[in-house]
Amino acid sequence: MACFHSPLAVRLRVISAVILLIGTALFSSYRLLKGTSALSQRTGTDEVTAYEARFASARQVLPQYGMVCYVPDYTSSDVAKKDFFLARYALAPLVVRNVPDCDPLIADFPGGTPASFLNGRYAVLRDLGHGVLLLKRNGR
Amino acid sequence: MLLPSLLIAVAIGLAIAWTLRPSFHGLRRELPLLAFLSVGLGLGASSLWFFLWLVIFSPHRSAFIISEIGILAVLGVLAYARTRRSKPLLPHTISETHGRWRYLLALASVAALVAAAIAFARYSAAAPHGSWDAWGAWNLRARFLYLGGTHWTDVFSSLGTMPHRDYPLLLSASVARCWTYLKSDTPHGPIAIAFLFTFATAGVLFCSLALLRGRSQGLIAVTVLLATPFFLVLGSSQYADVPLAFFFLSTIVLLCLHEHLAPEKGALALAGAMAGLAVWTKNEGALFLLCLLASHFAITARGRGWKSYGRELLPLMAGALPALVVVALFKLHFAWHTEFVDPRGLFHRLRDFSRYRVVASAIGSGLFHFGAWPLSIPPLLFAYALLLGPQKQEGRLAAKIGLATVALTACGYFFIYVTTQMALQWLLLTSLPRLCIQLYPGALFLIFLLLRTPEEALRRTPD
Repeated sequence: MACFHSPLAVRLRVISAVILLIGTALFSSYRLLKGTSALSQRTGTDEVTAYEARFASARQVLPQYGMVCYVPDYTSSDVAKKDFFLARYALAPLVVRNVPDCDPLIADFPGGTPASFLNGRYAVLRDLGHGVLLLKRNGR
Repeated sequence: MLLPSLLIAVAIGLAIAWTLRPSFHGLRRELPLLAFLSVGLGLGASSLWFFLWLVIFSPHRSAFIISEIGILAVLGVLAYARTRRSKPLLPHTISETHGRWRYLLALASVAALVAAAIAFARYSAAAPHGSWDAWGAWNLRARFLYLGGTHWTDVFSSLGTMPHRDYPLLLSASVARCWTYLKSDTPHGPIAIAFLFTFATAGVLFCSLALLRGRSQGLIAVTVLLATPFFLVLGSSQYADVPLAFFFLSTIVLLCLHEHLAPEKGALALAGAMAGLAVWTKNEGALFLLCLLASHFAITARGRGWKSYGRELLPLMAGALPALVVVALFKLHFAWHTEFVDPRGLFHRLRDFSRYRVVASAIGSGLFHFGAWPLSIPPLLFAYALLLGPQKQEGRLAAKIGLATVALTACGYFFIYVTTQMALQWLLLTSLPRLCIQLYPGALFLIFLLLRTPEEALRRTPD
């Protein structure tokens, strides 16, 4: 035990503890830098900016405040959920309702509108491009 | 206008901190810490004023900037008066070595700082609107506050699917305030705010430990913090967890400064203000404040007596009061419900011991991995603590209050997981690392406050 507390042992213990902690931290910093280097080489716009561009025309024709309904059902998949949240951010400060029980409605199909979607339920008021449609419910 | 908007906020914080300024060691050593504390204090105070402005004068945004400049002028006069009647400063009592040792540590921390700043810039350039919860909740709410005109209260509408309607507004109101100056909802505003909170947290950690335990201890702690990848990911994500971590850390730091260096009431009032702003940041802040008050009561009343407890409680609560009044207004008028704990089925969930097992196991493994380190730091910190040993200074009540507060808050998180009606596995997966980051800077501060510095350990004579 005496040699464990000798000045040399204490010095060795303290220096190795500091080197181990700081060395591991610096290794983590190095890996962080290396891991993020791919991000700086990315080209093109991020998904939120891209979504805002898709909805730019919709923002011009919709009222600035109030409520708009949204289709398709955002609970149908994780992708649909993300699309809904992005649309909600792009259209703020409009309140976006995820139940199609009001007019006007915004239809958001980034991959193109499915042929069976309208099916007599909705009338297209305007095709805003990029898979965004302004609709109203039929029979109202 | 981005820089003026941030400078005015920080100047407001600095004027408040200066007015309540505890005398630590001297201006040269005191000012950096006050400046870093002022970042959160100023952004928090100006977000409170922005929210009150919306409630009282909602459509008149241009006059808001003039009102803030007026507030800054008044606070500036108060701070100037405080400077004129300030007492002689306390002598500096920490002995430090100036050897190679500290220069090497400084070099390491500068390397970690540069890497952290580059990583932050890369994350922000790749996702300028932040991550999912930033555009899904925090910045979405900021857009309603900024663009909503007289309809800004639509952010609390139950007709749409507005997220987290009960979450307090510090971050969203800070972003909307910044956009009001900029007259545009550009992502530069939230990026700058996220940057300030992330690096001010590191600044408070370094400066406070440098004052209380010497620079080398501060350098080691800040290197460990800045080398935590998830701290930077979360900071650049524009979520409210890093601002919350800033307020938790600042509260604990100011309690310790009060005990060790500045027995005036100013430090306690500032600690209370930071705790109040934590409540204005996220609902977890309310839990933290309750845990702080319980720990303060249990430890101070027993350790220093009832009289002393009463003398400390008063400035602590006075500091927290402005934020608490605004939070009460917000909760009572706009968002009174909470989505995380549903009283229906609460007792059934409390009696379900499998939930305790699931939560304990997730926390057990989460503690090793929450920082997303390539090599886990917590076991190394444990080994480091064993090798260097605890320091043997008297007067550790504030550190005990800090430790008890962090431990009680962590227990509170545990029971929120156990009792939540939300899908438990999903909630643990998506929130546990964030909750760990909220407590991490405060815990790091307490660890390095209570441990011997390398110089002390090297000077130590055999027992």
